[in-house]
Amino acid sequence: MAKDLTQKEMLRIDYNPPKSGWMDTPVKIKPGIYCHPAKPEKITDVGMPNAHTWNPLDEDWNLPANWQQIFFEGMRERLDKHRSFKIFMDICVRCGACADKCHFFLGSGDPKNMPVVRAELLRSIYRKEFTTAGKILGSLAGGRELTPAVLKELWYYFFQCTECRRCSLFCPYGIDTAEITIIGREILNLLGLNINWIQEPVSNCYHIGNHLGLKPHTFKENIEFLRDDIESYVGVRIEPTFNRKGAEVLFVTPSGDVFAEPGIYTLMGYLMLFEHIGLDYTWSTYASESGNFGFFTSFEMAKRLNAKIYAEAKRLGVKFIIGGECGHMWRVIHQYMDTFNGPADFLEVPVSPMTGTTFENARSSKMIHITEFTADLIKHGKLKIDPSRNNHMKVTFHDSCNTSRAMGILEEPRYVINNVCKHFYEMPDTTIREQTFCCGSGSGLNASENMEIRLRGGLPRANAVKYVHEKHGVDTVACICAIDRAVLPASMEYWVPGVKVAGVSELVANALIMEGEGERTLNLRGEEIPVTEGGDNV
Amino acid sequence: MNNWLFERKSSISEGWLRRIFETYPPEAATFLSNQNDRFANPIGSAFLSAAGPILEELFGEGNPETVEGFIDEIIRIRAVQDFRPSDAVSIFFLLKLAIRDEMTKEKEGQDKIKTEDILFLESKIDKFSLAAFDIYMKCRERVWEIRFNDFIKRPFVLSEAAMCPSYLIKKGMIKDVGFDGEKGCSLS
Ligand code: SF4
Ligand code: SF4
Repeated sequence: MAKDLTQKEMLRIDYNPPKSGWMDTPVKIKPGIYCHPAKPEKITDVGMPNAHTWNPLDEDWNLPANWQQIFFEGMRERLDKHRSFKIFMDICVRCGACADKCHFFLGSGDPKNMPVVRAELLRSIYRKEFTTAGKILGSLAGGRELTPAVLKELWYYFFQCTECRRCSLFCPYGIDTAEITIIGREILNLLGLNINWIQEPVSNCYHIGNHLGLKPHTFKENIEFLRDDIESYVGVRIEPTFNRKGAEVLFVTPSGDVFAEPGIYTLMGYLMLFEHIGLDYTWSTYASESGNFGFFTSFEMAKRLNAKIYAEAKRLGVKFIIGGECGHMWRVIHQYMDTFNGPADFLEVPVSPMTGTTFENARSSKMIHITEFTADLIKHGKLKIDPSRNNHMKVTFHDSCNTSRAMGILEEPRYVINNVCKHFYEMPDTTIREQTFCCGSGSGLNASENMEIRLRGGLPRANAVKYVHEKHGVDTVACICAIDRAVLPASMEYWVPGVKVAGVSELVANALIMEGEGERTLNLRGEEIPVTEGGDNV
Repeated sequence: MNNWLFERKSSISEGWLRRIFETYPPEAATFLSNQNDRFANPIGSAFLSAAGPILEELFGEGNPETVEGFIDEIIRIRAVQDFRPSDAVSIFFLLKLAIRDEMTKEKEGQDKIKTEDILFLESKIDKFSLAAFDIYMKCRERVWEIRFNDFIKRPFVLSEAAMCPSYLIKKGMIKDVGFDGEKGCSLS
């Protein structure tokens, strides 16, 4: 009897909800996944349109009455302006090669995070509105109406794409879903639908000079605090200069390095490196940001924020620019700068004053990455290094999406790390270099309120770190991107506790033998460097 | 333990995994169950590598602590995915269904298994469910701690009320998400 009952029940019970295809599954906006909306005054104060108060959880987003018209006109304008966008809308054959390459899909299992579907969210509107077949056949031709629900879905999923371009690597047609997201977000911005974590830094950077809104005196003071820390830990006093006209080099770095942990240790690394080689350089308290959250807003904003770095270089009369460890800055510099604000012909092609190396790759942008600069110094024997100070660390390297896929900086950081650390272990091939997995929080999605989506998106990267952590005891993820430094600690705390995050320049500086230094018992974090009985570092 | 069931462990495991993957949207379920590479499919491979050892323990001593690492691995993933708490920890209920599926496949199955065997096994599964619930709660608390730590590390002091929550609440741009005045505590 008991058995009969069990079996009957068994046939009835199903724990799974009914399923439908992605287009028929309405979006359900959930806290933990999205970032707070932009404050209206931060939209207005950079001259962007349709600033208004709204809440993603509300039914009514207080959109302007003619929001559909604004959307379509914005889309039309961009289809005409960007040939790539038009092509990407037309040529996808839905082969699915990109479908399982996105870290958000791999960490969430949500099909709308498959790059092909993410693009299809917008492509379906394109078909309905801009193609004859779609206008006549509607959903039979893959088209759909732009309803308020569809707009919400677009917003939700374009802010779940970190514009990392991993998917584009696998597309036989070279379709770059990141570009679709970039333009999708740009159209959403026409309706005042940015997130605050992007908009406020944009406003700060535009008006004050950096994302964090550090005013010139604060910016300077912070760097001086870090200089004092170096004096305590290393025994060397460094005197950096600010806004100094006639310096040979302007140095710019993400403002996160000036204020946020663990970026500050990387900044201490820059200070020590430049002191070590006697570089004639200056900081600027006006162009005090190398990151560019404008790039996550609109091309126009990216252009405006990028311009000030070059304007400052011109004002100070430097020869060329060195940029700190930043990811997306380099995508802007390498792929957009020339079209935005180039050519920077008032600057010189960067030549290392220490080694004489000409950086041909920067012939047009006149700006080089600190990691290529450091690698060249090491290659020419210009640094005095004691790598044993890093002997207690087991290091792996996380390629930032932008420096690897957009810029091809692949060998330099590895070369540097191998010269300053004894124990270096690569993560598996399919998770590094061009195929690197995103940290999960790029493109301005590094807020706190969206932690759940960050953790989902961080899983594929963390999963590879976990592998080398378990296999080789890796305890440090090195990176050359400020967003990585800001967000990987959270991802590690959840997925691979016990692994910390460090900028490559921090590792370099820990190994540098500075002239006149005291006994180096502390690292740049003020922690004891473990030493064995015989005096050697373990 | 009942031998008949024990012999069908791999088939039960397959059925269990199928049911787990079915908790994901259909477009994802196929991928999750077909791609075996640990790095190309972190979710699917976590389930694949955990299912065997968990079943082994269940059919043996039945002590969830022995395989806590495996339970943790899969619950940690589900704890940040788009599931209600009950769905996130439902995996051991799905195991009961997978075992029942196996029993109904062959008439012989039902004859060979004593009711007390089934009850005993299901009680053991209940222990695993409770362990899963504990781990789920630990993971959720961890998410909130990480979120809080991340929030207080924000340099918002620098730009007047940049991300101050009271500003956002005043402006109606965020709500207290834990409690909905009309519906009470929200599950999703
Ligand atoms: S660009 Fe990156 S985040 Fe965006 S869809 Fe492609 S893989 Fe996903
Ligand atoms: S790989 Fe390219 S063509 Fe294939 S589905 Fe993805 S975007 Fe479309």
